Amino acid sequence: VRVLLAIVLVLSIVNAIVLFALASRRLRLSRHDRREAAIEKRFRPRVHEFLSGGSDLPLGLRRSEEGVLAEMLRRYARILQGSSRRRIAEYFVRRGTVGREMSILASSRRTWRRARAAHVLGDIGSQIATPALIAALTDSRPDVRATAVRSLGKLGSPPEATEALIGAVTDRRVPDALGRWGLLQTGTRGLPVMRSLLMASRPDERATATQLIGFVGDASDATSVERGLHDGSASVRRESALALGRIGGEGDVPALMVTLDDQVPVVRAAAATALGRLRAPASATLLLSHARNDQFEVARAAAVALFEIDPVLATDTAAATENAHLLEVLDLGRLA
Amino acid sequence: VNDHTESPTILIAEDEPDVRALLVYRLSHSGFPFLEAFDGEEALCLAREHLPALAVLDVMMPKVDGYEVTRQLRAEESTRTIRVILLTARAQEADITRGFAAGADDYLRKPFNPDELVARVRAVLGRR
Repeated sequence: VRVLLAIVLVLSIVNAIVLFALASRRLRLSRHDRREAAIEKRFRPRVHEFLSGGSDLPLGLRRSEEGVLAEMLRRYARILQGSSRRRIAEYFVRRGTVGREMSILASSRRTWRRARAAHVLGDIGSQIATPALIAALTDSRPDVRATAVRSLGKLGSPPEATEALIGAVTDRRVPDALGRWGLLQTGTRGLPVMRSLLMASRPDERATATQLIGFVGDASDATSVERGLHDGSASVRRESALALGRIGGEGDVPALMVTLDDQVPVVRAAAATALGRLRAPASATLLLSHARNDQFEVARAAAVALFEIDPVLATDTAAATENAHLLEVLDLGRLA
Repeated sequence: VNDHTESPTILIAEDEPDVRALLVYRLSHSGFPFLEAFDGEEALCLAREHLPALAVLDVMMPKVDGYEVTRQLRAEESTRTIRVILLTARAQEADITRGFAAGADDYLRKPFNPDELVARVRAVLGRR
């Protein structure tokens, strides 16, 4: 009984100590939160004035005040653009924050610190950070590389980052969708690099460049993209067909009709999609034939394209032949 | 509720405190009296009670979203003439079309430029 009582006593004491530690920690944290909230409240009018082009932010602040102010500005940088965001970036450059974070990104041994630095540089939005973020695309850790893409995108993916981003996507150093999002942020400024990569030795680089030109290029790129329909790589042929569907015109229809006979089904399906987007009446009969006779994926794409080009022909044929793909597209059209 | 001038009153409905505080600062310093709402339900109540000239509505708000607030403002006789600018992080074409279909007069994508917002507010109010 004595031993049992002793155990209960010890456990009670331990319990009380733990409870006391937790309560005092909670108190400390809430005091810290209240202090930070008070600092934020005090600085908010100054920050708003600063963001609106008014007087500069105060200097000679205490460390805790500087931390709160920096966090506030970083939050605002995420939701603003234009002159307000530029002012935030300039502030952080003047305070040395950008230089400090670039140095952490380049040399810290801890992954989380490098990833955090890449993230912060994207939020701050200073173009000065571009070379450091490009270099981070070859970081040994995927988290850092992905964050660098995100931050380059936040900076509007400067054109000098285009080649490095395409390399990161094709080498699978960054997630595909994220990398392509990053590249799209460059917009038309990245076109010279993308055009030069149409002749790259690696097929995946050619395919990525073709895809991007399809999104941000214009009709003047159609001729060089059309050459891709004869590429040895099916990925390049597919991306070329899809890109022509976006930036091509009537002059590209014959080449796309020839591509409907490509030996690879995904290329044929892409050609059908492109012809539908170009609303090419000359291809209607050929598309109908593919909708009735080709493999599933191609037949479906051809049926969708035919409805885009000649809905009457597609509807009549659907009723007459009971072709599953045409009937499906007809039903989907009714639902929409 | 802040009412210090003869200018048209603007209802600001935004659940994110940083954005709301900045909108309040910019619009009040541009001379507009304002009303503040923290969610869609409060925005509707304030709009019905005070009949502001224009509402700047965040799309993704708790309780009632910006689209629904716009639809309800348009559906009621008393609030039909309130101009609406949607502030949205959802910048897909379909989302923007949805906003206009609900009855919005204009939209602004997040991240946004505060100068552009003030200019759009003036432009939309000028259309009256």
